[in-house]
Amino acid sequence: MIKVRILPRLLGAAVVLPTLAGCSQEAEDDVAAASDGELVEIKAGTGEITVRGYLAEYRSTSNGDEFIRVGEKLQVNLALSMAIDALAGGDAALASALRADPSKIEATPKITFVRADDTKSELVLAKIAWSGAAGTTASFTVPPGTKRLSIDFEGKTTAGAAPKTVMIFGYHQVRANFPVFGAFLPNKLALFDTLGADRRMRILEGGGVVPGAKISVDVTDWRLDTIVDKSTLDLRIGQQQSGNRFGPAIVDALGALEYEVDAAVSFDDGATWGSAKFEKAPGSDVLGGSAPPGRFVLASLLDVPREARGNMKIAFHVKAFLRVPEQGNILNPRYAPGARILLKDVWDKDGDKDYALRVANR
Amino acid sequence: MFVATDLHGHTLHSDGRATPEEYVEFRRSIGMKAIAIADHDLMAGVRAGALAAERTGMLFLPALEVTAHINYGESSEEQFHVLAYYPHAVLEGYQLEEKVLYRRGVTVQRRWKELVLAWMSEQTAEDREALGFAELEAMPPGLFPALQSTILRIVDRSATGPALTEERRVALFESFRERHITFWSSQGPNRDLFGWTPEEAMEAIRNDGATDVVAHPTRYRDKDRTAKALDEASGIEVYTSRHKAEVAQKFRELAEAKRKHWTSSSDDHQNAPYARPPCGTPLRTIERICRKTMQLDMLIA
Repeated sequence: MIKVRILPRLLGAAVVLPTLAGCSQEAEDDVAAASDGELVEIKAGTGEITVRGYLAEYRSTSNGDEFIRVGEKLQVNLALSMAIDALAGGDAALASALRADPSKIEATPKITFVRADDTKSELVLAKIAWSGAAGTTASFTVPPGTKRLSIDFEGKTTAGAAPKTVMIFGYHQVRANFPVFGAFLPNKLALFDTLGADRRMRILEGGGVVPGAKISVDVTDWRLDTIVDKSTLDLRIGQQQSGNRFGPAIVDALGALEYEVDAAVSFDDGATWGSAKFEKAPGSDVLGGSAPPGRFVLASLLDVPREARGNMKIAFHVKAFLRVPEQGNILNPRYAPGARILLKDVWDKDGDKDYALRVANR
Repeated sequence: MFVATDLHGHTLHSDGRATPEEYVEFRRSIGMKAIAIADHDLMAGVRAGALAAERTGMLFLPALEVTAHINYGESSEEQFHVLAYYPHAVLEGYQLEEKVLYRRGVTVQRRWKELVLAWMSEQTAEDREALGFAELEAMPPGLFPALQSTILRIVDRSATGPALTEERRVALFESFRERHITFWSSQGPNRDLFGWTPEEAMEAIRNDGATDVVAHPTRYRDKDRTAKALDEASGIEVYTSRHKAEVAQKFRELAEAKRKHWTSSSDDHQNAPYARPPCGTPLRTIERICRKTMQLDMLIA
């Protein structure tokens, strides 16, 4: 058995990550580890972040998924049109001049890495080289212990009547922040989400659940919508006065859909069971860097017993409620203010079986 | 063969209420196979919608609804809408952001912000503050509230709180309505953007590598002029919430007789219960838009 010691600097930060809140140094200093290195190493690949059309989008270029890991080698691509819009605004002449000669645009990328303990480091890269409709930065590697990174571009030009400097992303208010996974090993995150109508589960750091460590189990809102078949739920609570381009209008008033999730959990292949309660974690890292407001996950942070063996098994109990607001000018109300109505009560299992996550060998 | 589609609907980037992600997710939940966000005159929600759709496995077509006019500048002036559908492939690289109609959309956003701020500047200081003038002034055009979001800021108590009385909301709504109509009409300063004839819009769409489809053709008052435009169009929107069944049947017969492409959509603005299109879109229309043969197993309804 290999005893893995975790850097104290990382341990302290585990407490500040919402989905890993509550990690204790005592627990982690005595982790019973696997012998294959899967607990402390991430298989990092390569990827690129492309900023265009009001969106910063990460894609793996090494057959990975939608998440960045520590150790990954990245490049950033920036649409020329964004730099021109930010620098020229409504100045058509300047926009034309910059489009005709993009070399008049100096765009300097700055990458900010936020470490697990919330300390930051910055990496200023060389000015990007324009080629066609975009520019690309030099590649860089995400340092170990990084839990988040963000990107800024400072744009300068001397092509107009007066020299001009702008923050290109600031102008567009693009959310160029990306979570990075792997900063909190051997604590891991098991994500239960969907791809289309298919339900998925995976441990984002790879490998198995680590005995003696923590496992955060995160369930996405879209998965819950799929499980309860949200499209069949009647969320109307009455009507309300509103308006549209043609004039005043009466529209349906919808209540909020709320979820309650519990799970039955076993860390010994189903020999013994416990329960887990899930809490809402809006803005969770697993929603990525550009998740729209309103999206959320439900998460539960679990201690993995040192005696864990075989598979961690889990089955989710999902309840969907319609929440009626306490106040509001609701016409023809269907429910009392503040009411909470159970709409659906279902289990999320792997067919007839429980979901199974491998426990790392001891 | 038909594909379950909704190729015409709006988000909060124009006069709809949903985010692009909400728009996409709803269509996934009801089993759509191919969808488009077709906001008025801009494609600000396309990237976000495409990313969300990619994670659902649906085919996403970049699109917009181009505002043109019949009888522009005359007393019989009326808007005429032509949908523009781009091949999915323009999402690769930076092709989308380089399209002429995308760039036009950026200008539309900038001028919309100017119009709203100019209108607000004419209101009282108390009203301006209640509507969040300072916050809006600082926003970049690309994130500035579009038409429906601006209306909700005025009429919806939950958006702006109790600072405005109901009486003031009604008065401001009427005042804003009078103003925002001028954004598109010949009374406003945007002739270069919206003064196109239907045929000029179709030409611009084709030159941009997209397929032109006349939106909700029954809506236009000038039937003779509409018929002429339909003759020129590549496609006709047959099924839409604005068409009764018999009207849709008439336009489907017209499209098939003239060997035009046709589509099936909702024109959803999230103002009313969703009206699912009663029919799919012909596979050959999707293939025409995408400029390639599609994988049937993914698309067949």
